[in-house]
Amino acid sequence: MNKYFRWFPLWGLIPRTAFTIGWMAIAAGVIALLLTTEVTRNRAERNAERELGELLDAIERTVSIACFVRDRVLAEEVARGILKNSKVLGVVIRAGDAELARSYRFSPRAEEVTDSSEPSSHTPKIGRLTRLVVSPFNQAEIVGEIHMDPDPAAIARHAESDVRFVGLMFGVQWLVVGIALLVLVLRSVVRPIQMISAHLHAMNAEEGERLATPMGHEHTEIGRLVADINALASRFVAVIERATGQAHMLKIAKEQVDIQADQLKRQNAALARAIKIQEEVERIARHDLKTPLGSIAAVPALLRRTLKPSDEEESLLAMIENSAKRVLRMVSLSLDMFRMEEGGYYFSPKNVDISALVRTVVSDLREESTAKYVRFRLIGCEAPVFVYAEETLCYSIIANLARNAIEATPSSMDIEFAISVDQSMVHLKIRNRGAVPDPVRMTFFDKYSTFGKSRGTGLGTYSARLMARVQCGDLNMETSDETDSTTLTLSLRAPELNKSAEIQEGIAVAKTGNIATLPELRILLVDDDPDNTLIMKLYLPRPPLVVETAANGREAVELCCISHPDVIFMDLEMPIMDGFDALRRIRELQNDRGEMPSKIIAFSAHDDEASRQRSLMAGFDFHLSKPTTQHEILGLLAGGTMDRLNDLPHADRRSNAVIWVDQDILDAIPGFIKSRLEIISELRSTVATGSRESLRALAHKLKGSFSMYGFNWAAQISREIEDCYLNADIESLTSNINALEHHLAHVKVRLRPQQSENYSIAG
Amino acid sequence: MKGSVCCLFFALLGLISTGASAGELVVVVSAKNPVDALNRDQVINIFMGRFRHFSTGLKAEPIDQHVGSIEKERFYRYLVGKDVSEISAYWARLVFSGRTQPPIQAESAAEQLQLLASKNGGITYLDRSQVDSRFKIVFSLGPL
Repeated sequence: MNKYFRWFPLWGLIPRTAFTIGWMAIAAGVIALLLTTEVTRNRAERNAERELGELLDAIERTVSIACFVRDRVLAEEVARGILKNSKVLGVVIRAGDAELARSYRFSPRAEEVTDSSEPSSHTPKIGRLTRLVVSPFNQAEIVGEIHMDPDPAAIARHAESDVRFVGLMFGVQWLVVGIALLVLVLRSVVRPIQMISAHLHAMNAEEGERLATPMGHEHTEIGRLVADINALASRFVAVIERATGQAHMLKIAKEQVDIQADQLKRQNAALARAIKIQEEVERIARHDLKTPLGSIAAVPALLRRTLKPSDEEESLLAMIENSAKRVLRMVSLSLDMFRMEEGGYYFSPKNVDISALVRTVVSDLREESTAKYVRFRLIGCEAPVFVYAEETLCYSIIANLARNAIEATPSSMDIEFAISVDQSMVHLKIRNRGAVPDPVRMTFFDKYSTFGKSRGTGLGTYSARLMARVQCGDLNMETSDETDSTTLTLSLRAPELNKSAEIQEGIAVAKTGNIATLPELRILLVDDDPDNTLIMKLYLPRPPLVVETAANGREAVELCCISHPDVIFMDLEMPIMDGFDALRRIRELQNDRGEMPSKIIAFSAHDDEASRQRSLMAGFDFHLSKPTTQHEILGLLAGGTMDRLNDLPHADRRSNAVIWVDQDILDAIPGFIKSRLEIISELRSTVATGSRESLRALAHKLKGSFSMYGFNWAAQISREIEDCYLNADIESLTSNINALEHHLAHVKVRLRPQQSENYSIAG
Repeated sequence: MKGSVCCLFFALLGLISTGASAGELVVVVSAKNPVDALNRDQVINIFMGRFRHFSTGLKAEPIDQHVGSIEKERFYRYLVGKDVSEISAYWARLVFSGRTQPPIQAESAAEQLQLLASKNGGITYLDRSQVDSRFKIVFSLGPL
């Protein structure tokens, strides 16, 4: 309707009002006119009746005389006189039986007068009027009667005339009043409202425009309406201005936030780059450190073999050996910590005598404890107690915890080491006096959590627990203000009988490698570090071995052209030509010549699983990590071990592993394993179809989920698949997939020993 | 005011007259007339022109006393309860048609008596004291 209203002024306020009022006036006028007509007609008829009655009154006396004396002439005269009244149709005057006079406008029979005179419309209801006439001298004597017939048509004409007159008067009045009313309404109400509407429609309130009060409406409701609209407009404008201002401020704030977000993003990117660079530097540093440290650590043993050192020289050599090994261990540990956090640590446990380790730690920390007058008290540490773990990690954990205990214990107090065995777990409790301060309790094992130690990095407890968990164990803390003591409990797995037997066998096999059993082999050592080459040459007995050396890949390839080494120890990172390139060329060379392929061993300071896999996938027969021992090298060369180890990759050795999970996810494990097997099956079909991108996506998914559920080894394998998704050959992929399936089929899931309350707060 | 004074005057005059001759007014006919008695309606019919025949068939000829006569006044008053002016108006309407005439108007009492004597069907009204042998009383309006 608004659209039409705008475009069709016919439907504007004034035409609509006029139209409405006009129709209402017409309708009301018609009704009023009809009513008036009816009333007027009735009134005219009653008047006619009264008039005729009065006429009869007027002639009654004369007729009385005429009837009294039966004067026909007089009666006829009277009758003629009566007929002069137009409303009288006729009159009959009787005196007794005699009819003195009969006079009609026309000549009907007296009886038919009333019937024949009916008009077609508006028949007056006046019938024949009869008046009895008494004697002029005796009221009791009736001397005659007058019959008067009114003329309905004439009466109707008179009534119509009256009605027309009244109707005309009424109509004119109504018209005048209606027009006046219309003009009044249009002028006083509609027009001002229309003006207000038009003004309001075109008004720019934000520019300060306001409605003007129509003339003469200063004190009317319209004036008040205008004032109210103006007030409302002012308020709206204020609100809009405020909102606009706020929106503007918000916009500015958003821009600032965006700028800051951009800065933050750039800073994050820079930080990420920095972290990456830092990690890379650390990795290189560790790698570069490990190689020379390995050489230093090996030198004393070699010296002892050829020299006969004096006691003093022997102590110096031991000091060199121990220090080098210690630094090497620290570097390795540092590298391992990184892998543990990343979920890529390769856990290779064996039976470790934890009581002996405790004794070693106590011995190593004697100087620090003595300085603080702190005594160590060992309980249950006399007999050997084995755990299925890594010695280096266990040493680090215990040494770390013991050092913390020394720092926390007041002088002249005891630190208690107690070992207990509980079914499949071995617990080492380290108890010292002094409670952990309140602020630290909740974050005791968090990274960078420290308290009161000016030089503490906060990594101690964090890394200790990390190392414990990597070994399928746990580390928990209880502290109490009441007893003023803190107890840290290290839980580690007790060895399983079959495992320990297998490992022991493996160790035995490795140890069988000695000079007596070595075959005559031609060995080629390829390394750019002359120190390494020197140590290796010293490790390899000649005869029966023939040892050649090369400083880089190219030299190695050249040597292979003129001779055929049985075994090649190949460093991976070398100048001029690296190990992988050399390997490929040597394989091609020997293949071209139809020679039996040499056993080529990757010999690298990289000892992580990814590097190991990369080496094997590149075509190396074995991956040997630096530093190594003479026993390990001789074991390899003695034959069998290498094949055995490569044929039984870590997957098989780990397939019966135990996964330790928390209570809350234990129930979900069967479903989890089932769904993972489905994904692995999908992975297998993806390998067959050859879609490498799908392969990567699936492996990535597996890696994430396995890490989340604590299946670290499976996560590692998945990660290797993901890392090598472009280059890996189908065989190795299938092998890894088999290993994953085997692992999931045989893995044992156990509930992690619950020590939900890591500490108790006294009071 | 003027009318009222006139009315009062005539009323006083009437009282004096009544007081002077307070006799009985009677309707008389000629002694030769066979009619012996009339009733009031018959008197009215004769004098008011309705029916002017005696029972014997003789035409009745009513005679009024002269204008201003007290008897005339009293006669109509007692006969039909109207005064002379009303009687005059009555006759004025009837005279128009000509069907009947008002009674003969005597100029004086002597003429009245003379007219009565001269007409066979004459009939008039008199004070009983004025009745002699020439006349016969046929109706009495009673003592006044």
